[in-house]
Amino acid sequence: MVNMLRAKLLTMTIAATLWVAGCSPHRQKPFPSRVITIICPPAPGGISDTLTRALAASAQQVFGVPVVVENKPGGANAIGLNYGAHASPDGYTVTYVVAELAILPHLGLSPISPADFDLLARTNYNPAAVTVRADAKWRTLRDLLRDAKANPNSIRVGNSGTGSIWHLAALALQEAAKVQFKHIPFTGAAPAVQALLGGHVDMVCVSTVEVQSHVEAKKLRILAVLTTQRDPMFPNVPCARELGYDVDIGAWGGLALPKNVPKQIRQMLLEGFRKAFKDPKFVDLMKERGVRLAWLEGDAFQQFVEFQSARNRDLITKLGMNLTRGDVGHLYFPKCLAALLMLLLAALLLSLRWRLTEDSPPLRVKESLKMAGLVLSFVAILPFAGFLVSSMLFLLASVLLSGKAKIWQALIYAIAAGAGVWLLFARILGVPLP
Amino acid sequence: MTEAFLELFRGNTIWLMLAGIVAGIIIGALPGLTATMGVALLVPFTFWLPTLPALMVLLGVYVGAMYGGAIPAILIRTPGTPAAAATSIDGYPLAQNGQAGLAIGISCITGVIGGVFSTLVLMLASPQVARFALKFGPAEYFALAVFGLSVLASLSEKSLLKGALMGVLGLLLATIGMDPITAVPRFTFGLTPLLEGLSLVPVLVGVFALGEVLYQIGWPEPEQKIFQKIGRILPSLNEYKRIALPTLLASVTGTLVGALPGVGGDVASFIAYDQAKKVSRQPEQFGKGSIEGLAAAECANNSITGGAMIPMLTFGIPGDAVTAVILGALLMHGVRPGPELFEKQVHLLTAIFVGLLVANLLVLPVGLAGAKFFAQTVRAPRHYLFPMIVVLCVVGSYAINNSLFDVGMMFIFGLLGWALRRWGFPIAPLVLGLILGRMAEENLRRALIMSEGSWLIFVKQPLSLTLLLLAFSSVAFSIWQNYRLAKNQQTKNPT
Repeated sequence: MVNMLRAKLLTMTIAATLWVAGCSPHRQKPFPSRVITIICPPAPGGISDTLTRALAASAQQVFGVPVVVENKPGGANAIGLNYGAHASPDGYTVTYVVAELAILPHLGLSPISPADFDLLARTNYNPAAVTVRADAKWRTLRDLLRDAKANPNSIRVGNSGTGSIWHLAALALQEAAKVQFKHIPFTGAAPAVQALLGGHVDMVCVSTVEVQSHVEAKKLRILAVLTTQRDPMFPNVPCARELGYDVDIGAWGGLALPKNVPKQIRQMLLEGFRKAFKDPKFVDLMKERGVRLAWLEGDAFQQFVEFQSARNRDLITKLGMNLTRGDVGHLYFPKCLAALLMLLLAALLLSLRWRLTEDSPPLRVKESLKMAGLVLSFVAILPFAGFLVSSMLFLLASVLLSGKAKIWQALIYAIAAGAGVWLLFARILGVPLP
Repeated sequence: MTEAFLELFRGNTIWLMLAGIVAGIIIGALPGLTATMGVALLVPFTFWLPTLPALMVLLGVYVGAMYGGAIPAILIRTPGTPAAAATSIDGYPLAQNGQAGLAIGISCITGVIGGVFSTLVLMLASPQVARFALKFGPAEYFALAVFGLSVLASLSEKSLLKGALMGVLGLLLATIGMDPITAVPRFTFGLTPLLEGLSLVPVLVGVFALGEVLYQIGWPEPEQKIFQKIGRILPSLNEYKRIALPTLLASVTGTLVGALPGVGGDVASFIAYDQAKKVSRQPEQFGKGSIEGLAAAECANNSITGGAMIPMLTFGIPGDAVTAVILGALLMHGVRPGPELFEKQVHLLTAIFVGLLVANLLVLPVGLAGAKFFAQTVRAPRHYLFPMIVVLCVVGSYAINNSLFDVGMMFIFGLLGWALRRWGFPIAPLVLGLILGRMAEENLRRALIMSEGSWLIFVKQPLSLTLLLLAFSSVAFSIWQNYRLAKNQQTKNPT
C-alpha cells in the first residue's frame, strides 16, 4: 500500500515538474532582451579567457543586458568551436574563435572549419617571435638561419605542441628559409620557454607575450618577429619582411556567430562589440596583459581567416607533422603497457586461483545495483529536465527507495537539498549547471 | 616587511582574505571543484579591486582550497581535489575508527606547517631553487615520473601484484587521447571530448566518491554503525613526536616538487606518503589509519603552495594549473613576475610573501574551528548523506568542463570504483598511474627525440641517473619492508 502510494507520488512529481519545465513563454522581443553568452573554448584563466571576460564586462554596458562568458574547454578547442557553430542562430550566442579554427580541420581533428561560422570581427593578433637565449652564439636571424642551413637538424626548436600555431610558425620559417630544424613538441608555450631557459632547446617561436619578461631581464633575446611590421613594444627587433622572408604568422582571436543570424541582429552585435572594444578600461587591461589588439571586420576578417587556413593546410600537408627522428611512435607506450598488463593479469590469476574476495564482508550487491540504476537515470534525464528538477527527483527517489524515511520527510529533504545545491553553485559560486 | 604587514591590516584587506580562505575551503571540500577552478572563478571579481586586496583574496582562495580537499577525503573517502587522493588512504580509516576529529586536526596542523615552510623557502631561497628547477629537462622529468611510480610498491596494501596491475591500468588509461608528441588520436573511438584524454577530475570523483557510495550502500547494516564518533581534535604530545619527522620530510619534498613546473600536489603527496612509510617504526599501520601517513600526505600537498610560486615569481613560469591562473591575475594587476619583480617591485613581492604567510597561518584557526562542524557530516544518516554526495559528484564532474560527457565518464568510473572495491583492488595505484602516465610518456619520447633515439640520455645526465637509482632502491626497500612485515605477521599468528 505504502509502496503503491510512493510510486504514485513519484509519477505525479515527475509529471508536474516536466509540465512546469515545458511552459516557457514564447514571444518576440526587441534584441537584445536577455543574456548574451560568449562561448570561450579555452579553459578559464588563460589569455583568451581574460580577453573575453573583460570584453563581456564592457559589452554589458553597451547592450544593457548581461553578457556572460561560458568556457567549453577540451578537445584542443574543438569542443567549444563545435558547440558555438551549432548554437541557435538567434544572436544570443557568440563564439570567441581562435587560431585552432583554421588548423584543426587540416589535422583531421575536427569537422568544424571557418566555413561553419559567420565571422564577425578579429579582436587580437600576436605574431610569432623567434627567440633564443641571451648568451646564444647567433646575433641575428640571418646568423641562425645560416647555421641551420650548414647543419640541418641540429638546432632544437621547442614548440607548444604538434600542429599548434607555434609549431606551424617554426615550420613556416623553416619553409621560407629552406632549412631544417629539429622540432620538439611541448604541451603549451610556457613549458617550451622553460626548456629554452634551462638550455634543453635552442630556440622557440612563440608570441612576444610569453617571452617579454625574460627579454627584459636579459635572459632571452628576440631575433625577429615573424610578421610584416616591427612590434611597437620592441622597436629594435626587425620583422621578417624587412629581412627578406615572407612569413606572417601568429595567434589570433575574434568573434563569430553561427550561420544564418538575421542581418539586423548581426549588425547590432557588430556595432555593440566595436564600441565595447574601444572602452579604455578594456584596452588598458589588455595592454597590461600583453595582448596586441587588432580589430578587423567584414570581408577583411573573412579574407584573413581564409588566408590563415590555406597557409596552414599547405604547411601541414607539405611538411608533414611526423618529422621527428628518434621518436618511438604513438603506439610504443600503450603496447608495452598492454603487454605488462597481460603478464600481471596472468600472474594474478595463477596466484589467486579465482579466490578474489576472501576477506570482504558479505555485500548486498542488490542495493548497490539499485543505487547505480538511480544514478544512471539521474544522468540520463539531466540534459532534458535540467539540474534543479532532475536532482530533486533523484534525491526524492533514492531516499524513498532506502525505505528509511517517511514520504513527507523525503519530499522536504529533496526540495531543500536540491534547491540548496543549486543556490550554492549556480547563484553564489557562479558555476554553470545544466 | 613590517610595512606590508601593516598594509594587510589596513581597511578590509584582512577580511577579504579571510572570506577568500573560507570560500577556498568550501570549494576545495566539494568534490570536483578544484583550487584551479576556485581561483579562476574569483579572478573576474578581482578585476576592479585594487592590486593588494585582489592578491590577498586570490592567495586566500588558493591556500584555502589546497587545504579544503582533505576534509571530504578524511570523512567520506572522497578527495575534494586530486591532490588529496593520498590523504584519504590513512585519513579515512582514522575517521572510521572514531577519530575523525583527530584526522582533521592533524591534516590542518601539518598542512599549515607545510605551507609556512614552503613560504619561508620562497622568501629566502627562490633564485637558488628556481635555478635547480630549470635543470629539469625531458630526461629528468621522465626519471621523476619513474620515481613517482616507484611509490606503487608501498601503496599496494596487501598484494603487490594487484597494486602493480592497477598502476599499469592507470598508465594505460592515461594514453587515451591525442598522443602528446605526434597529436595522433588514440583510443578515442572518434569522440571529440576524449581528444585531450580522460579528464582527471570526473574520473577521480567517479572512482573515489561514487564508487564509495555504491560500495558502502551495499554494506550489511551492522557494519554501518561504527562511524558515529568524532573524538578529540588536537593531537597529544606523543602524537606530535610521531608526526614530526614525516612532516619535516614532506615539507621539503612538497616544496621541491612544487617548484618543478608541471608537477603538482598530487604527485608530491604520494611521494611524501611513501617516504613517511619508509622512515616509520610502524609501517604496518599505513593504510589502516596511520597518523604519520596522513601527516606526510597533507603536509606535502600544502607545501606545494610556496613551491609552485617560486618558478612563477622568479621566471614567470607557472608551477601548476592554479599558479597559471594566479599568474594571469598578477599580470592584469600590473605585477611583472621575473627579475623585475625582485628589483623594482619589491613592495609587491613582500606583499605576496606576507600574504601567503598570513593566509597559511589563518587556515589554522579556520580549519580547527571548523573541524567539529565539518565532522558532523559523518553523523548524518546515510540514506540522506549518500544521495547528496551523488548530487555533488554530478555537479563537480559537470562544472570542471561544462560537459555532460564528463558526467557520463564519472558514472562509468563510479561503476569501476565499486567493482575494484568489491574484489579488493587498491584504488590509489590506479590514480597514481593516471596522474603520472602522460608525464612519463611525453618526456620519455621528448628525450628520445632530443637524443635521436639513444636511451643513454637517461643515464648520461647525473640528475636523471640519480632519480632513476633512487626509484630502484625505493622499490627494493618497499619489497623488503613488505616481506619483513609479512614474516612478522606469520610469527605472531601462525595459522
